[in-house]
Amino acid sequence: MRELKAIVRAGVLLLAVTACLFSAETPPTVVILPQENALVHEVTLSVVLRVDTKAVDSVKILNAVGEKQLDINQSKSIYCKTVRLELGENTLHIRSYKEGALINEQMRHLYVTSPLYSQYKYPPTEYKRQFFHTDNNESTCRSCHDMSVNEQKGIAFIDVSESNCYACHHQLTKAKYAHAPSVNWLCTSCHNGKVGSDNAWQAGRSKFLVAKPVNSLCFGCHKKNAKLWKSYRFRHEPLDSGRCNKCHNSHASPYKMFVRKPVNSICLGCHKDKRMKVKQRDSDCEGTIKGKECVACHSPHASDKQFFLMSEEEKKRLESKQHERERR
Amino acid sequence: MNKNVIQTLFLILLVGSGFYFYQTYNVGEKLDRFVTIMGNIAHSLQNAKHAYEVDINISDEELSEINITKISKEMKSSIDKKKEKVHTPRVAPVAIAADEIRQEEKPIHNKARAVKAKLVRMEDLPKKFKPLKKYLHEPFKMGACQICHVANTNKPGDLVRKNIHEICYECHKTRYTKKFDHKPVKEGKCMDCHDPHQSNTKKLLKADSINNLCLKCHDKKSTFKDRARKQFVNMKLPVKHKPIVKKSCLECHDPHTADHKMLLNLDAKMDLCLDCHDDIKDKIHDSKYKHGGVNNSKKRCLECHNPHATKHKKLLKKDQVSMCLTCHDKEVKSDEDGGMLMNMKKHLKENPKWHGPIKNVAKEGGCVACNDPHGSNNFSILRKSFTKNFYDNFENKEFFCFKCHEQKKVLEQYTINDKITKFRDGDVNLHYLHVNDRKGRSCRACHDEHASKYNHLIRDYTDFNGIKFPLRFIDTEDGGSCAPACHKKFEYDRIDPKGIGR
Repeated sequence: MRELKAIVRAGVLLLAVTACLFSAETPPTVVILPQENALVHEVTLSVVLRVDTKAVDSVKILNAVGEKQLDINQSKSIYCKTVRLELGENTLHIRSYKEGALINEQMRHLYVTSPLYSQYKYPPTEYKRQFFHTDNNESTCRSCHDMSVNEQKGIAFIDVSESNCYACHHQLTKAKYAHAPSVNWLCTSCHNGKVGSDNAWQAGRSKFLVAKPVNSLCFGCHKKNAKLWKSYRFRHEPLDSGRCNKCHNSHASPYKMFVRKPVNSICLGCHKDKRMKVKQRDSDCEGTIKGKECVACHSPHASDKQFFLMSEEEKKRLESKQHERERR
Repeated sequence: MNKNVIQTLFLILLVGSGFYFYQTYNVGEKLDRFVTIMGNIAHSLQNAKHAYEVDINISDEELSEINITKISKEMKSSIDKKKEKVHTPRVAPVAIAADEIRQEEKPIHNKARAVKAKLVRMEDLPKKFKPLKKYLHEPFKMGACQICHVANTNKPGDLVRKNIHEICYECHKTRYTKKFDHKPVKEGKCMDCHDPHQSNTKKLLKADSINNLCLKCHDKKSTFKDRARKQFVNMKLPVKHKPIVKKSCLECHDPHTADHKMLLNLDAKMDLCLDCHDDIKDKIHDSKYKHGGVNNSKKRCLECHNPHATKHKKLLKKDQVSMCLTCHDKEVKSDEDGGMLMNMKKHLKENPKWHGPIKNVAKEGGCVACNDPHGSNNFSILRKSFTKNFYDNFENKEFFCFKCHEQKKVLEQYTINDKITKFRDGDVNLHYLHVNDRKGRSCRACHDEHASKYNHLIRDYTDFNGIKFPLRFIDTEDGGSCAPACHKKFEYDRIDPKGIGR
């Protein structure tokens, strides 16, 4: 009996080993990044692939926004490509072709979250935040990219493309209005790897984390504003909780003041009850009737008056500012 | 038995320890001293009545010899001197003090003694003394040769004493007892400078003027093999200190003795200079921002100035700009706020395009055209107000720059005049755009005050919130372009406008 058992065990082991061997047979294209069920905060994403150059001669990356093609040559096996995403759930199809014939297809499910849209504010629980800049990940890139920080503290690049960050992240600053530190590639002045009270759990996960809440970083330069807003009686919630980045994109934006969306849609993203009123121009508020922006009357940061209404001085100041701009 | 043993052991221990303490603490000596002190006290208590009685015996002869007037004068002068020292150590001008001393020097010739001696008449004087000169030594004038010379000897001119200075000091009683003595005075060589008989110069000097007398030794060519040759004054140089030319060396130096080095009556580094230079005294002491070179240096005024004569204006030791760069050739700690000042020499070396005043020192004045080396109420010891800020609009402010540069540059919105400004896009004055209104930038936002690699002194980096942003300025024939952190790359062209500011 004992002998029989031993034989059975050995047989099971053998089976397991062969199963492992079969399953470990590598597909022609390995998607290193992103991992499955990744949670993303930006609408751009880098896809990193390891391609078997003998089996594959081109790769297509498809999603709802569009498709990108990678031509594979014999010289290197690791490829990366930046793709655009849309808010919410995304499915990336990575298709490998050999002489026009599809030989392999892989999928990645991603979720792009944004605090500005109520429907994308709370992602489904299966999606998890991922961090790229770890030693393990960086080692894959090192064959092509210099992964060190070549930024001198407090001195901006004369030629910004010299920055080691530029090659992969330059999409971030391509919008019309760009924040000076980001467009001058002084990345580490904010991305210093430290964590704050809001993201303490991230400590050590990545090399270039930003401390959250971000206001201490913002107010490091925007000192006058910090002082002014603190003196007011009423303060807007995102200001008080230090999440400037809720409305502003600290890198670049197509809208003035680096706001993430047109002003009104930012406001109405949270203040849903006003949404219909503004749309139908049916409100006590004169501004809605005239079709003005919310910030024409309401201060988005802080005010001494109720409903964040601006004082006359503030209005005048803004008008003169506007006037100045128009003159230029 | 046992008891006895313990007792003896105990005794031995007691004696031993006693001896040990006696040895180590010198008990005997102390006791002796105590006894003598007590004895003294007892003795003085007994003889207290006689303690202050003194026996003095003065003969009538001795009494008659005491010259009361003289003593009283001497005493008075010494008291006066003390008063001077106590009450007004700094305020009392040097010149007056020196004059008083000179007055004291005038001896009162004891005529009685002179009369007793044999007087020589003018006609009987040896031929070498004729014709007589303008100023005569008093004994020589009286013909009282015997005060100094031995009478009735074969050798005419034999002296009463071996050392000449001892003879001098017999009448000229004011001994030179201050901290520093002139070397001839110290060595008793009065005759090096003074003629004992007669001279055409005051004070019986051996030269035609005081300065020439000094320069006899204190000259580079002097044969005098001493320190004097090193401490020479080159009077051939074009810029000379006025007192030397108009008056004499004695305006500052005392020829005999003084309390300060270099035979000066006040501290040479600064006090002496400020005694005359009142305007600069106020600047140095009262200005809000002080120059470390004067305020906090070893040699004070003499760091930069030569007190006698130099090649350069304002008695500077070197050419104006290179004078500043002798210290500013490294990062220097600022007296203003304790920060480090930039290495200007390196800055000027690295950036070949210099600001006018530095480039053309002779015409426009060099560094001191803008910075006041003695101190100022404006930061960076500037002669007039300026700003440290990046944002500081032009309105209602008297910026120092506009002392030389025309205000039209920033005030005229539209111009096609190249003389007013070349920073134009067509006729749109881009200076006007940058400088005016609420967020008007100061000149220093774009321009470097000292030197730059680029034309028009455009900075390579501008400091904004502690970060250095490059301006990325490119100069073209009819315009140029900038791509600072403030805006994207904007081009301007004077002839073919690119449409900025429209």
